Amino acid sequence: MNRLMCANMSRLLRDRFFWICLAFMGLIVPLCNGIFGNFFYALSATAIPAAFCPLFLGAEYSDGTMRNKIAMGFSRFSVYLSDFTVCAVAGVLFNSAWLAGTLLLHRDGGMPIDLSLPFLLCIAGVCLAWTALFALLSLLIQSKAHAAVACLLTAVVTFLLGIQLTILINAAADKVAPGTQYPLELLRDLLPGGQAYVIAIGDFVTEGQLVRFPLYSLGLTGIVTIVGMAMFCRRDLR
Amino acid sequence: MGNLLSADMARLWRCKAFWLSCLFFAGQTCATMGREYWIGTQTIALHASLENYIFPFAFFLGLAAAVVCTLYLGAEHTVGFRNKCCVGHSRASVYGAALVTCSIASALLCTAAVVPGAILGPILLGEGVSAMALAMIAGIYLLSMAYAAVFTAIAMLISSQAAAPVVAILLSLLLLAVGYAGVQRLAEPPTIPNPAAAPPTIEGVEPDRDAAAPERIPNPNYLPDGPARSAVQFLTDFLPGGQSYQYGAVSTGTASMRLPQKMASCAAVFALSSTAGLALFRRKDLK
Repeated sequence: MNRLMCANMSRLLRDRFFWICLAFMGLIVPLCNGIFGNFFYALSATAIPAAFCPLFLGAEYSDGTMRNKIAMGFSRFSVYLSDFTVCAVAGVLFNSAWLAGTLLLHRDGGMPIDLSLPFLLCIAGVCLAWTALFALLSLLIQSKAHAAVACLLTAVVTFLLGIQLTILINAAADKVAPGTQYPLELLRDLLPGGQAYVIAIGDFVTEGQLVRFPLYSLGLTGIVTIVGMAMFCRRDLR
Repeated sequence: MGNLLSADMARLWRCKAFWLSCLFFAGQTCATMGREYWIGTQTIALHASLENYIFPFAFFLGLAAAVVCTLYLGAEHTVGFRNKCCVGHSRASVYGAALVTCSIASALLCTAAVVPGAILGPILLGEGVSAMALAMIAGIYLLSMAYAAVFTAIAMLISSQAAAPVVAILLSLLLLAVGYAGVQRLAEPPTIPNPAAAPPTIEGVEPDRDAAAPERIPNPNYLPDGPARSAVQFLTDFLPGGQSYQYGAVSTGTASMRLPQKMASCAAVFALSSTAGLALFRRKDLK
């Protein structure tokens, strides 16, 4: 698997779209945070990996690389894991670029975000969960165009679902049956889109959420990766 | 061009992305009505306004138009456009047929969202369809055609079947984000509560605060009447994303919708993107 990782990493560093996304996250997003607020970061941290992963992984299908890797004797398990890992590395680099850009921009003070370890772990968790979902879709859908649309729509719909659930939670909390918001809160906190929205608006009601979010994200990442591997192992690769 | 149009429309009826998007829009309107019904039962006030459940689909209009137009037209880049030009159709008629088909597709997406709301909404939630709402629905139809023109241009000019949807979807999200920012900035109040004069948050503990500090201070984000506010207002009304956000968020009580300006902007966006798209398509090398 080391050879697969080396090959993927060297392809990542030569990928033009990767550097465009990195520059966007490191330069444009911190500047826009001042205009749009953290909401723009949350949307970008969702949409940029959703755009990058299917184009990067989909090229393996269109170029025949995927078939060659399997033909050379690499197990499907190691192919999936190496592809997921390289996308996770890309996602972490995107968020690190944004963090570095924000720190540089606000080095004289007025940081728009909390730099505590729990908060950074939340961001890392959301990034991993998104990567797991996009890697699953990109590796199971062999058409690059359809994979790209599926990833972007999943990202946007999940993000919007997080917003809708927050509206419902706030409505239920004020009303006759305040207990009804707990299942909605659990669903909202489990979804990466819901977590991203809570991080964006800074609506951490309790400290428990800062601990729960990374754990939920880790759990979701594990489940999605295992399911993705199982489906990929059975997939007929054309 | 008649032959091209009938061929394109026949292909549209077999486009899965189009039907899935129609289903999504109809489902989204029904889900919004369900949400309003549920909130109404919680507050024992079952009387939601039409704006609460029929217009939120405008948020997704750009996204849906991006997906449908790029996936539908992307398939033509392999053989379709080249064959059409080889049999004698001009580039203008090929582009025109694609533009008309995508405009019809976008209008049908709006119809899929509006019809369930207009039929079921008054029955479930007890509010009829007003003249203002009808005018706004007409505005949204024009907005859908403006989106169709922009994404037709992108789909016709980008040959890569994967890159075109990505560019179109990211553009639709960017337009929506810019519209959101513009509307939020215009809605900023002239003054905000002064943090230095905040009341104590813990009973019995007086925070360090200046007793002479005013309760409210000028809001640095407020845009007073002037060139800056007019520019932001114009940009928010002109860009399709801004219009999407304003139509979709009408339930939150936005000010005058400025429908004539919006409709004129849609016509301008349609004309500009079609003209530029056609000019570039004429020069494009069709592989």
